Amino acid sequence: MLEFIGKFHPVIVHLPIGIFVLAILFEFMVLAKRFKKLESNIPFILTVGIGFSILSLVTGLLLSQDGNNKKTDVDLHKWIAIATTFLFIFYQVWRNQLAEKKYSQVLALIFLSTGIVLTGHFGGSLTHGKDFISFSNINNDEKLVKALVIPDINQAVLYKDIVQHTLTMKCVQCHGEERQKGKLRLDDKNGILAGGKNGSIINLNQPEQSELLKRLLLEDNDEYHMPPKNKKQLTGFEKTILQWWISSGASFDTNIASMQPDEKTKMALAEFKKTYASGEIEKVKQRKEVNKIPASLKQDLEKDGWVITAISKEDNHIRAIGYNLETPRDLALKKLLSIKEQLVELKLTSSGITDKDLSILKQLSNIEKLWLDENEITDQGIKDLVDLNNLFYINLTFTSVSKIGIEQLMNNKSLESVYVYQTGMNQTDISVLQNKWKNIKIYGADTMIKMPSDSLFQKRVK
Amino acid sequence: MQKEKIQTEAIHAELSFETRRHFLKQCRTGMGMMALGSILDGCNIFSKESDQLGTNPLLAKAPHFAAKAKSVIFLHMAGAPSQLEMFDYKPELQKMDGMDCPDSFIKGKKFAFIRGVPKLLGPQTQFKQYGQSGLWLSDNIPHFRQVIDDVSILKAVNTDQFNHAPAQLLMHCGTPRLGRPSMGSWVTYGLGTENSNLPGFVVLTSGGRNPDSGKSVWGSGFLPSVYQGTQCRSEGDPVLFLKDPNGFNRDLRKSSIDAINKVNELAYQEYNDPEILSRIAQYELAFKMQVAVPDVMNIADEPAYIHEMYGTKPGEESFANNALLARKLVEKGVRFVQLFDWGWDSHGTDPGTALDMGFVTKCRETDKAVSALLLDLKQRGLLDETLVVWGGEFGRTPMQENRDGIQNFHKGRDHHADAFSMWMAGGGIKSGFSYGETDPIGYNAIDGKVSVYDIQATILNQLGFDHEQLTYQFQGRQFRLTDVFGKVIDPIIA
Repeated sequence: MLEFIGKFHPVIVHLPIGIFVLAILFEFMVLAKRFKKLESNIPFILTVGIGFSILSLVTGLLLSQDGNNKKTDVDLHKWIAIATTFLFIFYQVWRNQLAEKKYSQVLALIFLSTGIVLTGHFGGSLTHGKDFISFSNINNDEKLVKALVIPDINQAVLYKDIVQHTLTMKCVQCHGEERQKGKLRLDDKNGILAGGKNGSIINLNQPEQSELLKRLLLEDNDEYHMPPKNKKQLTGFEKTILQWWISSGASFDTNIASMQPDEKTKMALAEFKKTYASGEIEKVKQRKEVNKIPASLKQDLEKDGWVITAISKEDNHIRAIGYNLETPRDLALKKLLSIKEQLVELKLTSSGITDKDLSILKQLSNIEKLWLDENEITDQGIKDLVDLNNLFYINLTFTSVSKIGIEQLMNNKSLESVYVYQTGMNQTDISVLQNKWKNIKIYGADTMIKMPSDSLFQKRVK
Repeated sequence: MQKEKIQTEAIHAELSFETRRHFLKQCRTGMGMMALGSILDGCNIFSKESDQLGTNPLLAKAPHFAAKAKSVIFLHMAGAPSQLEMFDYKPELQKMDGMDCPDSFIKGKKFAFIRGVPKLLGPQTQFKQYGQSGLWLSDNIPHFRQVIDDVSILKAVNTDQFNHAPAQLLMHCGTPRLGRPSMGSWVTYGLGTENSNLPGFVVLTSGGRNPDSGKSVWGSGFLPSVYQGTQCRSEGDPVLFLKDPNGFNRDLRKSSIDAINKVNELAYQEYNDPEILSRIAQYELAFKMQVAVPDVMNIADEPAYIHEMYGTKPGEESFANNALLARKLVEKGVRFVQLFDWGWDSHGTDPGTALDMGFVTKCRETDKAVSALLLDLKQRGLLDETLVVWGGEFGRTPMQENRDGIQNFHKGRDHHADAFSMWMAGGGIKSGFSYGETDPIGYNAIDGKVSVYDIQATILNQLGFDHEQLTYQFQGRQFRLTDVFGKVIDPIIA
């Protein structure tokens, strides 16, 4: 019951804040003669405010018992709130004395306002998360991803190396050190054994009835499903492994080899290793945030025949397509310099550009994907592309480039795939380069293997 | 008799209290409500309607989040191919060949043609494992072995329709009934087109018949008709009347279209009907297509090795020709290409629908072209931005069909909605992967079950859309492709 009353805290808090702001506003207004008549209302407003303020304190204290938030964060909010309430009470009591000296009253009011702002801010941080008011858009989830290396999955300790990794990635944000929703912590052995508000979460007698497992296996749209709907979900293999861990006794120190996994679990473990612990550190491409290009600029580019789209509604970077350029190519390309910062994908498939136009591309240093296929381009032009430091995809199919040109490109650190079908590169050239630069995939021609059935005469059966 | 009389009398008595004044009074409230509704709507300053004029509805737009795929090729094998003779290898079923189907499978189930107790039918072909992924493939599709490491096979797709037309509608429009926009329409509505000289959504059919559900399966439903699929002719010239008549030059054509559009714009300002915008856009597109289409749609100019690869014969109606056209269209920035190939309805009522005859022919006709399409997209660097989807509207039963209780003369299978196979490739989908599992005889999905809505959600997801957010307001509510269902199939996303 008490806990239920506590839930009204987020609603009630707005009353004292609003009322106190009104009182402070009145105090300042009263300083001007024409609002003098408001003065008599202030003590009443303050009293009501203090009343609700105390009510907020009570509900807040009740709410803080649920342990959903980190204790230090709650304490900060709690003590500032209590201090602010008391400051208002003192102000109410000594208001007349303070009012005699205007500057001391103004000082007191500023002090009080600061109290309200701080209380509100730290309270907000609890409900919305600390990074709610922040200018950077870094996704918090990404920070948790640590490089995990498991050389041999059979020698790994199931709980320590695998199960805890899953819990840390998918659960600990709400059930860990910072927050303990449902009074549950899943960040270490003790927390898991201790269970949550409704008791133990692992049931060794009936593994299928373990709360930890039951919640994960519920339908996604079920009210009690975990993780909640808009949070990152466990993958199929993570669920399989977790299920296996619990049904085989939820041991904290056995290694996998001694547990003899069955076929299905083996596959899940292999997938786990492939996904999280292949030892390869995944390249995270992070683009700098850029401004939206002005509509007039977009229209201007569209007049030249460019198709300009943002990468997404959240990302203002630009994909530009020049299938149907209308102005001379060099002029149209030069115009792209005005969106140089935003431009990351440029498609110039059979747009009629030549080697000399490529010198403009040199300056478009943010380009990540570039299509130059079906154009009169030779090794000469490729030179200009060597310094594109963000380029990871380049399509040179149906151009006249050869091994010499491609070789220059291969030293580009960011490059991942090069397409050279129908160019001066033959199969041997490709394998020579491919052997030398293993990180870059060179795609040549894929020929169809003839099948015996091809030559069979199959009468069409109607 | 008496009762009826009293009732009529009562109604008359009641009505006599209703005067014309009452009627008008009640009407007034209703009319007022309606008027208020439209006034309030007019107050909506965020409404998109106001800035529509002058903007092309097909203009390229940004998706919700960064997309892995920019275009889609949907290869629909209309009639529903048998998963048990292509991807879903069931050795257990072979052992049970000829046995009566267990009661538990047929009890309470409805089939299109099976009546009574049918017999189980083992796979009518050989299977082997191929590629690095070691996935099972049947001998019916020998070329597909070369691309097996590029696709993700979904083995436990299920639908809730077991007749062709409603199942096809469900697959493409998200409902078994008529009137909703098709997937390609939703996609062009959301993304526009990257090449304003070509339609954003093109449909190509082969196999001698249009799909059972008719053209609604690429219709635009309640979306503006500019988003509907453009069907190209499958024999002869794909698009007719591309040349201007004699004595009618390009400039004259341009100025006449400009004049028509001006009149249409005036009409739009007066009536605000979005269909007028569609009409304007279509005139402009038609004008531009006159230049672009002859080049794109002409497969005769392709080099010999490409024809060899796909098995194409220009001028004929064939799936291979359409597959090659699909590649050419996607290469030029067409958003959604939908291929329908009729003839997969292997009931076993005649040689053409027998699993060991007509079905094999269908596999042969398409296998090479499908494999060539994937290889060709890959070597041209198009596969990473093109999502290729293959499938029928449902699958086929592990039982041999016994139409009206009598075993069919040829080996055939009935419609089966509970589990069938589809595959996806490219566009950010895992390669050489298999998801989902059916029971030992291939009747029910036992693991990794996905619905048609999940397929749609996944396709939209690869294109950068949250399928729950891509909506259109119609008849007072937001509609979306996946209705109230759908979940992105995460395991197959790379």
